[in-house]
Amino acid sequence: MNLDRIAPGRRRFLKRSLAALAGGSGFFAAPTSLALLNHAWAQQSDRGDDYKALVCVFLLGGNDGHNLIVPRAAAEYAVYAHRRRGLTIPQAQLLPIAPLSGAPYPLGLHPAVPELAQLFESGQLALIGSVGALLEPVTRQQYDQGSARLPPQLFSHNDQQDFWQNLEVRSPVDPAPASGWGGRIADLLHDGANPQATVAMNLSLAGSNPFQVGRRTQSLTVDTGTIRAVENERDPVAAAEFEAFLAQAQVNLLADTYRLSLKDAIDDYRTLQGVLAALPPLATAFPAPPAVGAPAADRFAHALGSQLRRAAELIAAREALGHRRQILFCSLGGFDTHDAQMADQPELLAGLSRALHAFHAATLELGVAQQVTTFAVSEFGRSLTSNGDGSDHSWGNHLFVLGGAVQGRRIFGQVPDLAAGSDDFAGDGNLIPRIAVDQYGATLARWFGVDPGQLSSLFPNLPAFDQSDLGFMRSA
Amino acid sequence: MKTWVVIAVAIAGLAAGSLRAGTADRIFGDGFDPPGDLPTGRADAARFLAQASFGGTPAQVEALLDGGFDAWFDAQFAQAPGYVLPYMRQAAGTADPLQPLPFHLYRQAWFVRVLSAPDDLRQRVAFALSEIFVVSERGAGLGNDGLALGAYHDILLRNALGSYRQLLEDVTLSPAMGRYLSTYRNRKPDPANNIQADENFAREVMQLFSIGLIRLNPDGSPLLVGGQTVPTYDVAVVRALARVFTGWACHCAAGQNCPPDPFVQENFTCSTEQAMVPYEAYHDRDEKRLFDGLVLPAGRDARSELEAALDALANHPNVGPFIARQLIQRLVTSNPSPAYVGRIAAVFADDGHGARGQLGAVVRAILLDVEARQGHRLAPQTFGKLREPLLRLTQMWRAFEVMWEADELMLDDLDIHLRYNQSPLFSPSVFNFFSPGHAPPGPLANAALVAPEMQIITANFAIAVTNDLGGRIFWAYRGGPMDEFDDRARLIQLERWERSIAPPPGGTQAPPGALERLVGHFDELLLGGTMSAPLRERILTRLRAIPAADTLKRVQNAIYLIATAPEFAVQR
Repeated sequence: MNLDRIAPGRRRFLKRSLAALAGGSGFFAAPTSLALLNHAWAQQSDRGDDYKALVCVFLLGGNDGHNLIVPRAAAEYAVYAHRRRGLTIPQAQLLPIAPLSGAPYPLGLHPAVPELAQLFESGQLALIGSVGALLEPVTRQQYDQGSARLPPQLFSHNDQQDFWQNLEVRSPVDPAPASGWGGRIADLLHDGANPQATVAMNLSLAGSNPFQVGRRTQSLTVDTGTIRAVENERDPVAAAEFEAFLAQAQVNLLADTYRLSLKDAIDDYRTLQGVLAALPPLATAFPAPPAVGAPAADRFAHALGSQLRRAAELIAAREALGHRRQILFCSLGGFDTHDAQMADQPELLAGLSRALHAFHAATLELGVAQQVTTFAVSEFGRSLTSNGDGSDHSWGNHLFVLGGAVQGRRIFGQVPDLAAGSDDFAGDGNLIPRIAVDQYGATLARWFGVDPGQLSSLFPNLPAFDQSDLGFMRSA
Repeated sequence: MKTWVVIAVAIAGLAAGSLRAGTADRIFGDGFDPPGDLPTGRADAARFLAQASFGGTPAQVEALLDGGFDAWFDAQFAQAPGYVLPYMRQAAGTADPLQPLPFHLYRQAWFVRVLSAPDDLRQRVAFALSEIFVVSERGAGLGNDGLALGAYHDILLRNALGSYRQLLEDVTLSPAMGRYLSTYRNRKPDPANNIQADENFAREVMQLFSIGLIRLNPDGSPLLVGGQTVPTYDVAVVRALARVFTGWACHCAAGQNCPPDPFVQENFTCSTEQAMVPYEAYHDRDEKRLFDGLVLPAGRDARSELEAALDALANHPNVGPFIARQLIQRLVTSNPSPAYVGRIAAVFADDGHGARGQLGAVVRAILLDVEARQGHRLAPQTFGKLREPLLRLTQMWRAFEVMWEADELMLDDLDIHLRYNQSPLFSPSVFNFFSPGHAPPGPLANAALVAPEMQIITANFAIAVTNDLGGRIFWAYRGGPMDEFDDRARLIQLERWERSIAPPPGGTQAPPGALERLVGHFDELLLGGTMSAPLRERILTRLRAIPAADTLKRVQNAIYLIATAPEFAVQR
């Protein structure tokens, strides 16, 4: 975290307080003591309920959105089935939805996501059609002629993961370090929103990621299991000596980077340890660890669910962490379904749907459903055409946004024409995005509290598009 | 009675004879010679072995000191590969080549081999290659498939010091890679049914295993035209190359009951050590237009076309700098100078005997390059690499002559990825545990430097690895609690070091200078002699505060304070 941006007195005061409340010798603060401390803070501040969180759920590998949102009308379904062949979901299995707007014809969702369908129907979830990596609007003709300005290395996993998160066209000889739009939002909002923060506002439950890299603020990876301090029960003095040596600057930059990172980690984990221990347990049930031999969906539900459960706990701990704004990052891998898509994608989507449903329930339990917005991200969509038993890397995709502040039960963006020769597809089966990641992100950022005048500094490609707010969030 | 399996002491230098001129050179040399064949001392030898192996044991350090680098390489090149599949089969009690093997036996084999096999260099390079030519148990279709993954690891071992072109082919046709990136049962396009060839392997073999996304100069820097990078290929090339890799499925072993057409009925009983074989009916025979104007004419069969495509990839000018840079990053330093990359790429292009892509020569050149040998002096601020978490452990273990009774892994080692955020052939994706271009935000990124390994050393894992190393040092030593508790525990041996600081009979203090010598030895073994004065002072102060009679605690504290220090987190 950015130490010099935090009022130093506060940070030290917190630590002394925790140590004192816990008896002066350690950092395992007793829950009751911390609750008192939290209460004291709540009395002091007038932050009221001005709290918001953005939760990114990254579907790593490129989810096949063509099978997330599927035509249900007879004519359009026939086109879909003809184009997808072996990747076709039987029409009768589709989960019907009744959008209030945005549907050109009756649509259904993948049969593995009944929870998401229910959240859609109850107005908590919106679908975003044909969103993807763009520098400027692109037509099929421009793409075919090679005259379109395109993001670098479309179709490459890591390059497109990077672009979705940093939105930058970077030269390999560019000396300026990359940053992500989650990090840039924190650069703008952290000081004002979180003056009493004890840890970074960008919290990752899925390891380091480009999205949360700020130009001056940092992110913190939070373990989804037990939060551990540095321990050496056989020789606590040795552990103290180890830690004291972390004050010693290192000549070598790699060693010094490691040193500072570990030093911050130890500080931050002490804080988290105390704060999380003081929380009342969540009543909401999250997906349990998979039993031996359980379907893969159980594994995926738990993999994402354990991240979202910790995310919910961090939201519950917002006051103790001094956070009125939080950005949380989760991910689920396995969506690169070149093979066996009809077997694998249902398991992935089922796990995703269950984990998100539990998370939404947790936000209801915590009374923050209106203040927490979860949005899906995936590096690209997949080819409409089949490769026999799977689909390949493509471009535009269909995603979703979840939360009480979402204009739910609506479809934003565009539902594409799937017919052969359609202007919505480039090459053979690559969906051309009609909405840029920049627009998607800017809509979320604006709801989150970013001043409209500052959006283009966060979303560098935004000025190339007419709309900076897609309207899928209720105004704050 | 315990029958200890003690780490094999691979004394590479002894083979070359013990009476070498080198000894005299060191006595009479004036000390101003450029790096020669002999290490300048224990620290230099240990530093080399940290780069070239999973860490040097004290005996290996002495042997290298006596024998010199050339003899060490000669002995290493002559060592038979310590394959994992034979070990796994023996451990499973099977001789049946088709018997499935659980993945935990692969992990066990890996630990046994990297800690005790005499082919240290080959084992280390194979591990580096496993982070470039990535397959993973976590990939669809490979769950708990120890047979396919063990066989794959053996491909890496077999070719680690051999030909890149052969490695590329063996990897391409391995059932593990076939399943991981979908070449297995990839079929020619079927336009009538709107089916394309699977692009998965075609894309990644170019992007990750051979030529990369953009054209490179011979020194690995991006070729710029008008300030812009130049792509090596486009979408059309991916599509065309995807059609090259069509028509491959599993080999059917003699006596096996295989379906006549594995493209119709999937055959999971295929013998997974065997390379995939062509099924011509499913191979695309149309013309393919690849990169750089290369055209594969219509009508070719699956194998000859695959050979032609792999030849073209292996001969592409990008391969040398692309692979050289990554191998340097895995073994020596995260930010090699362009000149260093260029020198290694030149060896890739020609090993000195006219042969291209000879990995043994490449690895030797990487390790003996002046930047590898002198980088810590030439560029102390930027030279080196974060030790991969697993290497911090293996290098600490080997420095203290790790030993164990039963080969099986205890739970802490079976799920080592939970604390080390990596485990062999267990990457979250084909992009490895960490990216070669990962630049942690802060001073490194601001200086346009990368530290790939930092990507997996997030806050939780920095703490977890620290705690785990502490646990190993304070619990898992010969004669300690884990020795009593679990015969599978890997134990470090501390007795010789304890003896070196034991007060003489009747005395109450360590022998004069003994503590300093102890820390000096550990500096050599673990840090290659690069320990900073503040760390040395801190350790000595701490040791002096421990009663002299408690030699164990003194030794443990010395190791612990080095192994957990930022200085040991970086290999310099």
